[in-house]
Amino acid sequence: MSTSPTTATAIAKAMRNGDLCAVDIVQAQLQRIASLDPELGAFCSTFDDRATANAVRLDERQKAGESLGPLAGVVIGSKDNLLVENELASAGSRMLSTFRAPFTATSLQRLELHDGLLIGRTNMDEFGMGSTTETSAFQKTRNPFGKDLVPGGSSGGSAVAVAADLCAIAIGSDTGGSVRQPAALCGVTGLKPTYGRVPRYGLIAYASSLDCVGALARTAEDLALWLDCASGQDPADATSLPTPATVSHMLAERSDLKGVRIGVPRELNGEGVDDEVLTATQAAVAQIRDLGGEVIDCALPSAKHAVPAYYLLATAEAASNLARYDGVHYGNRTEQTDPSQQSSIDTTTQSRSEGFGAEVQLRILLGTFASSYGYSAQFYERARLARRALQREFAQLFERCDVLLSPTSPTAAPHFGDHEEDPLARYMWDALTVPASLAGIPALSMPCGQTADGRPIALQAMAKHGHDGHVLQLAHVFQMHSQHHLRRPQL
Amino acid sequence: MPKPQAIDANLIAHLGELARIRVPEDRQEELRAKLQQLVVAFSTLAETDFEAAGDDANAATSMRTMTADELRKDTAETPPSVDQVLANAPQTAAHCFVVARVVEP
Amino acid sequence: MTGYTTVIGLEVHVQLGTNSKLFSPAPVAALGDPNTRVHHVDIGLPGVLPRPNRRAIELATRAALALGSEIQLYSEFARKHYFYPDLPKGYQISQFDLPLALGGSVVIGEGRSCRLHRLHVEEDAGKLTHTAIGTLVDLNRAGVALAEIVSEPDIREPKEAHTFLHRLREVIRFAGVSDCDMELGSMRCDANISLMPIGSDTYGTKVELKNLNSMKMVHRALEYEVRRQTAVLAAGGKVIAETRGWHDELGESRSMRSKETAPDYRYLPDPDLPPIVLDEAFVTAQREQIGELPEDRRNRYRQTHCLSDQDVTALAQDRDIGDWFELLVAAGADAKPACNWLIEELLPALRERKLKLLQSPISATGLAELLTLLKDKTLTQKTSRLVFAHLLETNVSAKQAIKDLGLGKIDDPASLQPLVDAAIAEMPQAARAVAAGTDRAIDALKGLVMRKTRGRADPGLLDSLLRTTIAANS
Repeated sequence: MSTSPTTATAIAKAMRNGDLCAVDIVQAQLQRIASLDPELGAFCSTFDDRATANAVRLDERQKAGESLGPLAGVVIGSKDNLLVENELASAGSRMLSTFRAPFTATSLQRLELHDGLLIGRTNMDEFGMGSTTETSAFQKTRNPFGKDLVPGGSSGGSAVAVAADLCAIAIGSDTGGSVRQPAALCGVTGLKPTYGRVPRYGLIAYASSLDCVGALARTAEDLALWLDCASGQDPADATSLPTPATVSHMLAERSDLKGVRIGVPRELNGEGVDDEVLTATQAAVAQIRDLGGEVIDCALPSAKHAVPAYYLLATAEAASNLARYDGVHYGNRTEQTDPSQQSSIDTTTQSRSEGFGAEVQLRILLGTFASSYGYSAQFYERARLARRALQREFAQLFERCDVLLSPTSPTAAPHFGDHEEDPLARYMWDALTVPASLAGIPALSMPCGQTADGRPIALQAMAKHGHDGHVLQLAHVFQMHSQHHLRRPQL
Repeated sequence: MPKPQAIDANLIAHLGELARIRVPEDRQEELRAKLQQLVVAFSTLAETDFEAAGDDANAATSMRTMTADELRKDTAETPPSVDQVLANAPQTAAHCFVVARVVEP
Repeated sequence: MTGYTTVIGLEVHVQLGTNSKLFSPAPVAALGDPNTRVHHVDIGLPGVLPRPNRRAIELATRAALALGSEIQLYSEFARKHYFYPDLPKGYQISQFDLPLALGGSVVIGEGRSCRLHRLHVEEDAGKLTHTAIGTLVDLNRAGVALAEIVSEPDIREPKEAHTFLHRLREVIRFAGVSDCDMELGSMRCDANISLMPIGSDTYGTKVELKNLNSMKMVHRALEYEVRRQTAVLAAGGKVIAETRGWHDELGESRSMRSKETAPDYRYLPDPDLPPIVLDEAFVTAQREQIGELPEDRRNRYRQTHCLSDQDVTALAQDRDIGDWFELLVAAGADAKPACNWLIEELLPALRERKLKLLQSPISATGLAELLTLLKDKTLTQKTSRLVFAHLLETNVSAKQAIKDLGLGKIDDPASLQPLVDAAIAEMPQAARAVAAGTDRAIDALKGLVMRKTRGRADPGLLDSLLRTTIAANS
């Protein structure tokens, strides 16, 4: 892609000016994917026909002098848990290895409506349950900054696709950090919007009260462009917010951060965070102060409950959402039972035991426990109260602060096989991202440095419910004054 | 309520039955240990007094509510064809999904 | 065997009369080939989300108000989890701790009423058919909107349960909520029944009865269960907590499963559906839609039209029937014959043709016209039935029907005289007897003319012509 601009904003602008041809862009991207992805494993499949047909139409419209949409010519990868009509949608699971979508997710439909070009589906942890993309039933995805480094997860494929320039924007989903954390580990910018901002219709559910469609790109500016196109109420999603976000125009309003109140919650900026990560994020906070930000030391005491509350609520909802995979109506059906001989219970139990991987089974059992008779009052209901307490604390903080900052991940990308095996330690790795998920507030991750051995480090910015523009504005100003987001892996 | 520490093979079997998941013998102990570790760690929530703040747990699950005007208008639409309905089904016959004989739950 | 008090509670499912399903735009229809009324949402396909139907909430609210329940302005959908092939999502969307309505009552006898526990909204499951190759799953019914009405255990005998269902159905129909047809499955009933020693206030072990597919079956099954439990207790045994299925053809219930361990449904608030917040304006608007309830209507008919208890009960069994009756009266029909013709002639005829009252080929004005012609003796009881049958087929006016059928009265002397003469010629002895003073002999002559005219001769004119002719001849 040496001849083409690499940010979505620049590509769309060049397309509208007639300087680019959509068919060429799609061909170049498909070639790049074909040459690099066998090793990276970002894509599960590419939508060659769909992307090419849409590109041809776009070029025709451009020749006919029609005005093109804000995403014209922007090649977009989408996570394997988002439905694209007639394409497979497997959510990284053997359970859905042959599931073909009968319609396109609202969030993706809107991108095509704005002339974006969907190019393929990206690998992910099974049903979003994991932080390294290793629980995918299909393939290993590698971090472009080191082939032996994990890409993060669960939207690992999307993060790698953007980091390796396989697409300009990749759509992910973020339940407890699944966009932000892989963005951090792969050195790209990722946004989890306010809960409900982008419709969930067509997103294969993990935990419905936490699932957010998000995106990864090279710059905050590109994410603002995406959010303008993807957000807005959807009658098919009763939880979607009534108002769309119009944020792009906000980015031009600022070139510094004068008067912006920046909170740095102690609980998220110290304990459990690697020294190298802390050093880099503190430097970023200092730079933000230099740009005019008013830095406030503050506390979020309920943060200590975030991981337990998140895992109890997410798994209880997951156990419920995944009950539909019963081997009857769609999805994996075991071949070990003969319908004329066995009972439907055997078929369902066998199909589920074969179709779900170990991590998904563990979480279903944990969620079943948390919501079962005799335990739900002590676990599920307590977790709901903890979530409420955390929401209240965030609301109080946002009376004093416009944006809260922390590292996105307590560590940079670990090596395969080098990370924790026991689930508690793995779950604690999400401690910095799950608070924003529980609160439903917008949160963004952006590169802010690197470790001595070159692994990306990222800063997380969180804003008040509904104020997606605040995190994008801060990140945009930061990126105007820094180079971290421009660093590219050697491929 | 049994103590959370009492996550034993019986409870695993019970949860497996509720969730329709069969854990092979050789993985049961590993799974039991993992669940126990998590459950013990997450028991901290049960020891915290959240009631003092007077929070409403319902508000935690849903950050908004629906008024009558936001509900769907009762208009029937043409549904997908039978072929589309059954497109992803593992087994079909006579325009129906087919499953092994049902035994009462 | 009078040592025990029977304790019965009912759980009634009523299908809400919506066009589309509770959470999807798929059409609701009683009939249809398998899986032709199924939206992606009804299969619970990965990625779909429920979209609640406003009409379902409106109708459920009306039902609750008509039953005297208290509407809960804040209610919430919850997921009830269990695996079954007719339940595609692995959970049913229902309401749990925050239902749409609480309380209310149904009259079950003179001075007796049964309190209601709650009314909530939920979705129906699909239909299973067991075959040699396995079980077939049809999801046409999956997702259809239901209201579940749960009574308190206030019912003390099977007859009261029957009355409960009858009255409940009446009210729900009146409120325009559902047609409540047990045979078609738009009303379904499960019963909980237990016995306790007379004078005790501790309920006995309860048994749940299922497969009660008509009002009569509810009655029979409960009577059977009273006998069965009484016999068990009398023999010193214990009633087992279980679910029993009613087998009407055998006249007995059989155990389906024991209920020793209550199923764990793991209810969770449905995170796809924000809680529903209604306001007083909404509730008031629904209340206004209900109109007059059956009890009020019965009283009004008794007072205004002086009808018997039996008549008013028949007229108030259904809102449409009462409305139709009032149209008849407004069109000039007298109340009593209007009631008789509607209940005894029109409704059976429509049932035979599988038509609803609102689809009647005879309009209320048409029937009123017929009743007027009957009243002024243009039609006899006999000819009026012929006209009625004609109207059912042709949809013309009653007067036109009379012409079509050649049923007009022969009431001009010129037409009738030849018939009278012919009759006298045919039965001279009768004519002589009349002339000799045996007056009842005239009936034979009248009968002959009537037979020949198929009842069309005007009786008064016939009588006078016969007499004058006989007098003139003798």
